[in-house]
Amino acid sequence: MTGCLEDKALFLLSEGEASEAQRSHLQNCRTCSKRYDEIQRDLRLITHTLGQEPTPVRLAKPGAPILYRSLPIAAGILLAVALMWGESRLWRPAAPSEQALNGEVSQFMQQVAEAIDGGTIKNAGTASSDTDLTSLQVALGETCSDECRDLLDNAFATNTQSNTKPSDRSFVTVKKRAIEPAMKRLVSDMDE
Amino acid sequence: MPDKQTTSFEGLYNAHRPKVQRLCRMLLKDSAEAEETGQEVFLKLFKQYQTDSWPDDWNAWLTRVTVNACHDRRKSAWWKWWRSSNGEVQLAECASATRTPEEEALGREQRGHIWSAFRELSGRQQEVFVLRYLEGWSTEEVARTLGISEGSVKNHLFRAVHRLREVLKHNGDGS
Repeated sequence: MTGCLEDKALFLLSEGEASEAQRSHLQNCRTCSKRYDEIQRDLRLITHTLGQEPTPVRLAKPGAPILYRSLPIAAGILLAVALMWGESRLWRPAAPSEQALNGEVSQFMQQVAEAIDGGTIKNAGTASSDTDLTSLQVALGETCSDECRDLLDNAFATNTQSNTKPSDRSFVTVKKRAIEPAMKRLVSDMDE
Repeated sequence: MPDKQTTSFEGLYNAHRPKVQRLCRMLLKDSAEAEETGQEVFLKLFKQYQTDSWPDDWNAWLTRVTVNACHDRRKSAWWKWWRSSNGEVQLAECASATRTPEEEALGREQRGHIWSAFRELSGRQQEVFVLRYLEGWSTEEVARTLGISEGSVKNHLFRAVHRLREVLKHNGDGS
């Protein structure tokens, strides 16, 4: 019906705030009058319900609310964990992949094994002893007699034998034992 | 104005305690919190009682202090509100055996719906509704107490009543 009052106007009428036109409409319009009475009746019911004693007891709904209440907490924890993870990812230096690392390690180990088993150390020891004896020979120079050469040859031979068993005795020990008596004899000959 | 010869603190406390507690329970969702707020209100009453500046009307003063205390409590305890916001309102059994016409018209479940809808109203709407309809204050008094305009009071009232009526209709009105 055109010209009928809105709910808010009817409510304000009950609050004593209305124009003369609205009041006269309310008196003449049966529909608006009925709606106004409904508002008054509902208001009485509501006011009585809210004003009655004892006051209502609030009980927690079992099940679902606990889930709803824990959702923000869970979201917060997840966010914190994600942030920490992201932070650690950001600041960690770039590391080679595990596979590449394993390849490098195994290659290195293989080189070490070859160096040990393939006689590199032994050869190095022999070379070292040869160098020492040569140096000794050069140091003696022209004074080195035939006997001296024989002694050096013996020393070479002893050294070669000792190198076949590197674990039994060290190269340095072998060299000392081989050269020491010869050197003593040589020094005594020179003194004479 | 009441004087100290005729008005004792104990008398004031006993006379206004039920009303203050009811107001707190209406405006706060948590009953323990309502109890605490009621205690705060009576502490303020005691302090005011010891001063020389007594209000003209202790009832109005206490109502105003209670509403403001509940308002402050709601603002400071948002997390408590959130914690308790999922609660379900259930009406306790009425102690009296007699039933009023309004109780005859409304079922227990429907009254529970009205209470739930009231709880879902904004704090300001609750305050305005309580002061205007349950305390019977005029619009002007409500506006002055809450520090808002009369127009705002009417708007809050209309929204509150509109929402409560909707709930009443959707859950089968009492006719």
